[in-house]
Amino acid sequence: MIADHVISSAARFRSFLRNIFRKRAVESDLDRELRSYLDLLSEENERRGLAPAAARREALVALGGLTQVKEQTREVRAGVFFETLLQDVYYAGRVFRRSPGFFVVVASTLALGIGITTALFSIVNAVLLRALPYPDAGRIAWLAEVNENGHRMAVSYPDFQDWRSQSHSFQHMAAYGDTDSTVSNGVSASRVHMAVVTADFFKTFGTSPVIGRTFSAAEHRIGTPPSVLISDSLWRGMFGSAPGVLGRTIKLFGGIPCTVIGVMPAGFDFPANSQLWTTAELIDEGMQSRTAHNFEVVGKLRKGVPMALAQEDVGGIARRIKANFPGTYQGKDAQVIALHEHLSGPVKPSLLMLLAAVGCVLLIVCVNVANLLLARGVARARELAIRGALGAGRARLIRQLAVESLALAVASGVAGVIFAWWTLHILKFLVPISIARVETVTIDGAVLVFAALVSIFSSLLFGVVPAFVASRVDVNETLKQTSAQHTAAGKSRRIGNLLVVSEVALAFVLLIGTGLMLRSFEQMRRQPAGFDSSNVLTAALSFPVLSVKWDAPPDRLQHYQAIASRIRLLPGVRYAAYTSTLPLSGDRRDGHFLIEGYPDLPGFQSDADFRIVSPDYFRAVGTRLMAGRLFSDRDGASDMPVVVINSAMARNVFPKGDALGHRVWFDSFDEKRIFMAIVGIVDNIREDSLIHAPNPAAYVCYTQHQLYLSDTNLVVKVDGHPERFAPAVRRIIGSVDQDIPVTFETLEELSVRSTSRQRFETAMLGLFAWLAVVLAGIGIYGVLSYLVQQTRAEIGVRMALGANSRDILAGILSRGARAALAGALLGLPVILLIARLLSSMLYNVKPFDPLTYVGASVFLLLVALLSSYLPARRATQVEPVDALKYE
Amino acid sequence: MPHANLLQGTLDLLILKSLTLGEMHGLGISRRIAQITAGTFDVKPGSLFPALHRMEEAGWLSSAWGESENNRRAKFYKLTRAGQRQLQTEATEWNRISLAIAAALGAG
Repeated sequence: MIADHVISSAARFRSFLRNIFRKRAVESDLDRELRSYLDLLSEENERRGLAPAAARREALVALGGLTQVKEQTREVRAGVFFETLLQDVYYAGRVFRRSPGFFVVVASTLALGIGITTALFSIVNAVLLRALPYPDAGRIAWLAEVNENGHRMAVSYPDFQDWRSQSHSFQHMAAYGDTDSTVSNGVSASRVHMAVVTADFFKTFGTSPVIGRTFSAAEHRIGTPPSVLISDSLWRGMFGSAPGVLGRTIKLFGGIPCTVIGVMPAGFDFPANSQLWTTAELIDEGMQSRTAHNFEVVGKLRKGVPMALAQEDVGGIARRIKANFPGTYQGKDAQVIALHEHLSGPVKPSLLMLLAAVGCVLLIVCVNVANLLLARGVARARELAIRGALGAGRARLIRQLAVESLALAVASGVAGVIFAWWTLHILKFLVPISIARVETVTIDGAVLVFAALVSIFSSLLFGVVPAFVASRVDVNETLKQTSAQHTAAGKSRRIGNLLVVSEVALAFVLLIGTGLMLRSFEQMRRQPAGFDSSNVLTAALSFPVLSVKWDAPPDRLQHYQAIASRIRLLPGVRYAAYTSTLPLSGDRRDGHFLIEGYPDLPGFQSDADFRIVSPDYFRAVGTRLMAGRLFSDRDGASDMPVVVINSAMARNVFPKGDALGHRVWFDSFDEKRIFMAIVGIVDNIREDSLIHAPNPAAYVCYTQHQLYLSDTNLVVKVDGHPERFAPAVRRIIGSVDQDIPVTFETLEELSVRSTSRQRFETAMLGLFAWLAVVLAGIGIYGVLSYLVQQTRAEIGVRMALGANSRDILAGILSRGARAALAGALLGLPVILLIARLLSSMLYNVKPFDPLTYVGASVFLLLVALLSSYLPARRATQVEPVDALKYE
Repeated sequence: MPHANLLQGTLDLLILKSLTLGEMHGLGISRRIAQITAGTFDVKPGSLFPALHRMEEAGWLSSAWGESENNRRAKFYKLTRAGQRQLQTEATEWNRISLAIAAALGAG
């Protein structure tokens, strides 16, 4: 049996080769064989007494058609699949060449759909799917403390040390923080983003420098001469890729000399945008305090330890610490999540939403193409019928059409990838950089595979329905028709209508989604921000922490005041003030307070953001005084300590409205028991973001509190364009200290940047919805044009019988309107399904916002009427005589 | 003309059986099948030629051009060794099935 099998396989393989390579011989052999059969049969018939001609005719009838028998025989041959596939491909090419215009239109529509889907997927791929570029990246975890309210917060150094020494789940654990600094190599200076890290930081990422080494244990000791690792780009930029960079000295924070001990590889970008890494011990700020939550923590799990176990492990330690140190500022728990999730988590829902939206657009594109092919399939009914009559089976016809679709999809897929590549170059300018890893977006292998799958999938989508309809033609009926268009026309028209309704439904869903996002965005921007961003220049200043020039706080204050008073002298400057926290910066430094004469308030009710400002700050940013007074020059270091609070804090803590005159002590910030008198209440300045409700906040005058004086923001209110004042402001700061790094931004820019992600989402969604509506409009136009063309005769007859052109016009227009209405009705349940998902992304807008629904419906109806107008007008121009002649 | 539904396996079996007496051309095979099945099976060219070509590719039949009884050129098919074995296998299988079917139909 096995021997038989081998023989049979070998025989089949020989036949396969013969069939492929000696095709002509095989064909002529078959032809001779069948002719000999005919001869033998007619001879037999003659022997039965028939005349030669009759004998021959009867033999032919008995054979049942030479070509059909041949075709049937060919179909059993080995390799027939490949052979006919080649034929199909060749034939598809001929079909495309015959009507290039049609296929160029179809292929470019498809390329557009595949292209934007691929472009968006490449973002999703880079941000959400691709593993972080570190060995065993799946084992890298990110750890945070969890505060009383259940929110994540940064980790204090002593807590980190306990986690590190007591946990069993981690191979390595390291703390890090990031900050800005000037860096100078004696020749040039610039402001860079840098990280301070504890031991094992680089081991956690399994990454080593390309040149040099990481920090030694000795270098992590406080008081050791500091050393730094630099990024590849800093090495290229500042050191011109010099190989002898090791051992060179650079100055950080305007004066601390540090030795370069290594260069990190180009792909290493953690924490994001770091150009420099130094030891946490260099800064040595708040490393002893359990309540100074200054660090973030990463860790590498031991092999085989799941994230959940590590969560249990570290959570247990955190809860034990809390039991020992029950203060409000001690985290009550810990959270351990994958680093990848930490980085991509915030943007995941919106990226997935955009991917879904672009998927809708692709579906609409496919439906449109399906419709075009359907109409074309009807026109080709005669051709297909003839091929069927010549012995092509239905499967063969469907396959022929499928090959055409696939060829179309491949061509469009290639064009789509090129389009995506091009789109990405534009998208890179639009994507907010706040999305982690967005700079790594490229078209890589995964994206290409995705594009290929999308192309094949869409060819199935747009190819299958027309293929089935077109292949189901009745040979006799079709060939009998003088014009071949009637048979399949009715059926394909119904399917076409269905397709159009479904694409209108998809467009409607996208329109609603976009409408809601737009409304939400508008709501967000309409929020009272509590400040006036016009004509305000801000400058972030990082004052040297340890610089000899700046060692004592009173010195710093005097320099601040000197800088501000000189800026105030510039013509056009109204106010120059300082704040520890800019509006919308998302910078939350909050602390616990006690009210004099009150028992401690429960939990976080006695918790407020703590800001240090100069007296003019509120005037500079145009924040209204609600009650009491603002700071003045009389609130000096030796005067009575005062505080200004915002309305949120006033309402929260003093619901009876008697805030003024009470005295509060922020024990988180002042070790000494200093009660400050509440002298004023100001409007809520949105400091976190426009989306979140304003936090309770307290403002203290910088003369009375020296905390945070190393990092501050200059706020300059001017007449005219604020950017124009930047050079003068920089000169004034530079005259005090060349090494102070300054970053300028207008308050207007900051406001825009704070909503850049929502802006991006809304803009992208808007683009997709716009495409969807245009495509749906084209779909309606296509189907109605086709309808008008198909029913010319009917229209002609109606007009001959006295129907006026207004009736005809109204008839076609109402079809367009009906398609829009049916689509909207079909889309509604889909919206109901996704409304809940959407509501988490909406701000101050209900997912069933009536305005959006009415707006989208009216808009869709208008588009439908607009796209039916041209075909409708064409219908009214039908001349009864012409229409009948056409038949 | 009686029209029995020919399963593919049945047709193969009949063709193999008809060739046990010696080589034969296509028309001869279809006549022979009609004869040995007492006219129950009338194999049409549209089924016959695909089957012959398929079986030849499977190595059960071999073919050669020759002269017919009236000196006409015709393509003659004959059983190969593998074809004879295939006939045995299929005949055994067929007997088993027909017995089983007969038993099934005979069952109360």
